[in-house]
Amino acid sequence: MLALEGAFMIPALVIALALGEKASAAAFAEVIGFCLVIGAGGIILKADFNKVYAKEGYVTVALAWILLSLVGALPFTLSGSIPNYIDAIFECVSGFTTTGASILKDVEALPRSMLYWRSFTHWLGGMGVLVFILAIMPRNAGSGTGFHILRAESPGPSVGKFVPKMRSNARILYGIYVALTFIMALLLIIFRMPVFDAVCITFGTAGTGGFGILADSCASYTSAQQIIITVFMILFGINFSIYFLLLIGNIKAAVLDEETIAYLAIIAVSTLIIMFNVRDFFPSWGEALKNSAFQVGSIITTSGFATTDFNKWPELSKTILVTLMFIGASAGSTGGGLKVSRIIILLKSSRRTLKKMIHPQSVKHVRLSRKTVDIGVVHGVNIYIVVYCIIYALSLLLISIDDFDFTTNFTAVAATINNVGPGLGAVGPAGNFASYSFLSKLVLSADMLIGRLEIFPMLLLFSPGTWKRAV
Amino acid sequence: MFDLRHIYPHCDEALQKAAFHVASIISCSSFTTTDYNLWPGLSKTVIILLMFIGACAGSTGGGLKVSRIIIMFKSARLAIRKMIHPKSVKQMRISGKIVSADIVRGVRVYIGIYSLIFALSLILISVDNLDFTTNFTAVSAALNNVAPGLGDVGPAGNFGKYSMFSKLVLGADMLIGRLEIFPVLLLISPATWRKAR
Repeated sequence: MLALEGAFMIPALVIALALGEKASAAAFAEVIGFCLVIGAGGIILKADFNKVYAKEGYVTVALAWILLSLVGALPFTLSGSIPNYIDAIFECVSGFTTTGASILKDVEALPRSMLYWRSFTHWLGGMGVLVFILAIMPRNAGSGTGFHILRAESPGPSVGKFVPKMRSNARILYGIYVALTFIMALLLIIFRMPVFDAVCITFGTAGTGGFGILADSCASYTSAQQIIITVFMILFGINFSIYFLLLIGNIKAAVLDEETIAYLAIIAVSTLIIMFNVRDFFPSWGEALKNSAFQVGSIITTSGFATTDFNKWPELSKTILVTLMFIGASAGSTGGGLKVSRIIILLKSSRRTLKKMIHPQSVKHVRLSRKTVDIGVVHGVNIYIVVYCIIYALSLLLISIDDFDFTTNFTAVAATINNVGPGLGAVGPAGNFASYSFLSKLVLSADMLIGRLEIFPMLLLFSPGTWKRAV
Repeated sequence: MFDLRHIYPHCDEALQKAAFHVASIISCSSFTTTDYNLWPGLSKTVIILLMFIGACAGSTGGGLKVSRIIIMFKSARLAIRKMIHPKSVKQMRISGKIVSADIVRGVRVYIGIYSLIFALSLILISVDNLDFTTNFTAVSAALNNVAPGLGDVGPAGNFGKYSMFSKLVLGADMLIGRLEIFPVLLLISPATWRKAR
């Protein structure tokens, strides 16, 4: 794993060398060497670790992500771009979890190789989820909700059964991901964005991350470029199995997918409301539509790019954006948040509960895209939301020690646990997280990981029961 | 109390104020002896969380109720244990008694619906363009039957600034919170009336 990360750093090294940034080149070289040594050691030691059950799967994922982030942060510190290691961890976790929250005051001051590495972590993180959750997770993943939802929804790629098939499944998703990324970068370059910018922005969009390479995020790009970014953000927020369905020609199933319909409907409605709400801020309706669509797309897919400082928008728009942060993208996409399918299941199960009160003896199932959702999945969703609230409250409490205003704290937690990036108030699109204390930065980094890995892997890692049985 | 120490001349005065407000907020009585809007961030956040937790079930207080919170925590722990031992059969206990699975499920659904209503009300009253803290705590104060929030609706302010529409929304929230959501939802649900024919 580490060897892999080392390999991923090589392009960054090349860029550093090409541009003559000596300090960063040395830093990358050191870390690559370190990764290769540890990685090689790991391969030799790994021989006796063969049985992977649900528990081991979760723990592996959680540990891998923590390790990746700790190592990924090294180049920032070693090269002196971000002198403090905790800041570097925050930045790197935010990259890998595709959050895009930054503690940097002046992004443009970073060397380009560092900017590239920052954006590349997004792309890795976005793909990582697909690979880790779909490829590494064993078939019987207990009550792994996201996994089950994904499986319940995707009749095309039958997830699981045995290893070779799982691997080919992961490979298909990879393929779609790489293809989409490539198309987007190409389009951006065609519309006259400098190649370096285009590649970085594409990485940020593909992983729904949101690290820009300019201090004003996407505000200084042309309208055509912004529209491309908007469209692709929304595309990357759709369940990837839909693309697979389209590819194998099962268009009917793809079009009728309830989650995608709901997802697009939410985007359309929010965009409309916000467009009317912010009309006065922009010279024309077209401008208002473009900016609100960009912002809605950026927030619901949890990318967190900004074309404008939405902190200054009226309260209705801001509240809608905050709500969108929680809703998030579709299950099985690279976006974060609670996921649209969970919200749908939550709504439907609430309706079912009401019906049960009127007809106590009735037997009703929750259905999604005309298929019955397993009762275990429904419970899983309910539990997920409960645990989510608990963690949310706890983090809010911990970071409120820093004495910022409530809006800042509330949206800082929302932005990190949902992997969005910018919040409101002091952490809005024009601000950053630099003013938080180290404790808060660590708490927020943990939140990002928890949000990215869908809570349970991290909780399992810290539950004493996990280790008791492992002895 | 420790967080407030600097605002008050003596430690015991800080203790007295802190205890008064914690009790006042958690039991949803909402008497105040001082404007806690001016307190530091940590204390304010604690107070907001207390609003949600609320008093004990079967008392006269509002909020989510302590027993629901306990069930929430225990069911989260149960879910984790189930992941480690997928075949295990475990039951939840409170005060040594087993809590039936239906009740646990009820609590989870309750919290789900509660969040939905919360988000909806928040969007509706944000039309008035007051700041986020005010809106957020106004909804939580209404839904949990507390009364004062933070910001403009803090102990020193009141809800007078809101438009008629928002006042109706908040009024509905108070009823929903007091009656524990389901009665009000059933009232609006079409199926209820269909059967009544």
